[in-house]
Amino acid sequence: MFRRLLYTCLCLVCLLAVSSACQKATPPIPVPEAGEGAITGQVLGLSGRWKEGPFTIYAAPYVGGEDGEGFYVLEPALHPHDELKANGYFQLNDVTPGQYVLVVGPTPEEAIRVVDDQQKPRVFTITAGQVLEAGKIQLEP
Amino acid sequence: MKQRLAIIPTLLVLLAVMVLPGASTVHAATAPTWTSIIHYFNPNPDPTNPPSGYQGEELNVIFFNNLTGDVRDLGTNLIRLRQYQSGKLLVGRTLGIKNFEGGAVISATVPIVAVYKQTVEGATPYSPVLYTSFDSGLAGSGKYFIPSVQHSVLFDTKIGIQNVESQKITITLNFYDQAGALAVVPPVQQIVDEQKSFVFKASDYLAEGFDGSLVIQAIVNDGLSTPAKMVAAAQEIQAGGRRAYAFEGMKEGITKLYMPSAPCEYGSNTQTATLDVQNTGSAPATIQAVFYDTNGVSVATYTPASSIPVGAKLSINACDDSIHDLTAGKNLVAVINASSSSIAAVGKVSSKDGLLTAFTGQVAPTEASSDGKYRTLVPYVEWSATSTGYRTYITVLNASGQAAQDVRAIYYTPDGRVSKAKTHTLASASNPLASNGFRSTNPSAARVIPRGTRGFLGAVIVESDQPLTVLVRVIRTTRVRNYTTLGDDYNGIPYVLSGQ
Repeated sequence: MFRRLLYTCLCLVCLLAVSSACQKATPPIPVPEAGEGAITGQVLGLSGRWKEGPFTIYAAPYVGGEDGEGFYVLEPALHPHDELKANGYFQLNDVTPGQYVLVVGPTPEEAIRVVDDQQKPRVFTITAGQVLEAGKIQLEP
Repeated sequence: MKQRLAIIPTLLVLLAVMVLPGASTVHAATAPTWTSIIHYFNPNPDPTNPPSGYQGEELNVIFFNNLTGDVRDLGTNLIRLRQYQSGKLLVGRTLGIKNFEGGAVISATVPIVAVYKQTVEGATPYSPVLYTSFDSGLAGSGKYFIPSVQHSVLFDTKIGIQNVESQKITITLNFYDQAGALAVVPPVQQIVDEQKSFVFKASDYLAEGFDGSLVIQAIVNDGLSTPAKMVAAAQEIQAGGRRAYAFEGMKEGITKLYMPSAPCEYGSNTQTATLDVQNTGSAPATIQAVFYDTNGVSVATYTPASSIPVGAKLSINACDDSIHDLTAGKNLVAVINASSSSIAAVGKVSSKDGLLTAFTGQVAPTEASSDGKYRTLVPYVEWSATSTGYRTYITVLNASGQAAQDVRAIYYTPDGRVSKAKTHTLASASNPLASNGFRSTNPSAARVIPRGTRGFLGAVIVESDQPLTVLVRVIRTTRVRNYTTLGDDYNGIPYVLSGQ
């Protein structure tokens, strides 16, 4: 009986520990304000990129055509940004709807773009009232 | 009402040239994330009382592609501006847009000023390249002058001319050698669409060895030969080296120009200036260059042996044999006086450890604000905590005939909060700044760097009781052999407060 109780307690402690770890690693889903959107995800391949962190992810508004050619402009102090959590998790909340290129780095000047499987800059479309779950994303090699 | 105020011929086509040889270790196999940086500043002190014609406080960026006619408007992501707010816009472009050749216009609902900066980071960096934005008052009507154009083994000048008219214009390029002869006959002509720019290299038209000047003429394609408005800037990047710099052209000449940096073999790195003076008038120009020390004392006068032919330039070395004994080892400024014609000028300062900067000759401001103060804006001031980052040095030259008794540099943090602004007093009644004398300030000397921070980034307004000219030098140190100091200059922007 005592063994069973001890086992149960240990299981509960383990579950709590796992739950706590999960809470640390995976941020809660954000709730954007009315008329705004949000984006969450996990940046992979950070190790060895820069000498030291912390690292920040920035959303740079993108203006381009259907041909995939365009510009992105970042005002680091004003445009959406978030310091990456453990394991590269991030959430950008209250993002004005539109198209964005994401960049990551220790400073805006040193930042590197998020790219797609073809290594081209990936453009994310933010919609009002919705949270875009970008999943695992990669940086330009 | 939205006004398009700061016109920046971005010369994006030049960026590819700059970026490739200096590709950083991080981006070695790919395009750089950023191609340029625009530092902006809102000097408007009262958001509730904007100048006539303005409303609200917003900033937008619009791109024009000459080759495709494409217009890209950032519109949906307007940046809100507060009083005295400054910031930076990092500009990048997606691959596939390699055929971009054009310019950008900053559109704002308040008067703003901007500085355009191109950089290449990484283990083998280039010098930063800096030039100031043009507003409508700086647009030339029918003519524009570029006092220095060269095609040599080391430098091939690239020039961007932006049409600021709402209709097509025809521009004519008159290249002059130093003897005053046209180097290309007949002169090159080019039609430029409305709001578009024309970018070319000296080597497109001129043989190697050319070292001269350019007079740009422009007329509106209206059949009436109406003088057309345009702006122009030039950029030079050292082949096989790390030096790079830019300077703005001038819309017209004048008979007195101020050169706030004209040293001769000054400092441990022997900084030395070359002043390229162009005759912008219709008769040969007789000139004199007077060199002054920090106290406004005339140290030397350089008088050329002959006049400068129409359209041509004359290069004056601050260490010329005729004045070397007087100027050697000194940090000086120069005032260039012309008679019988008007002039434009570009100053270049080089050092033996890699520095090579350029700035356009400055005209003394003639208009004070209604409070009697002369104001000059410095939109971009940075002081990195490490010397390998950018550090800004500001030189203030008294361009009046009498001593200045009230000169202050007011440093604003990016958020523009007046409560956080700090003042560095450069001259007072008990410590006046003599006519033609100069003083300097920087964030370290002004003690505006908060302890424990990574440095200072913001903007400065220089206020004074006399007209001043202001030169801003941005430098960094590197570990690159022969290029341990890199940097460029840009001019402070005179500003008159409205609505007072």
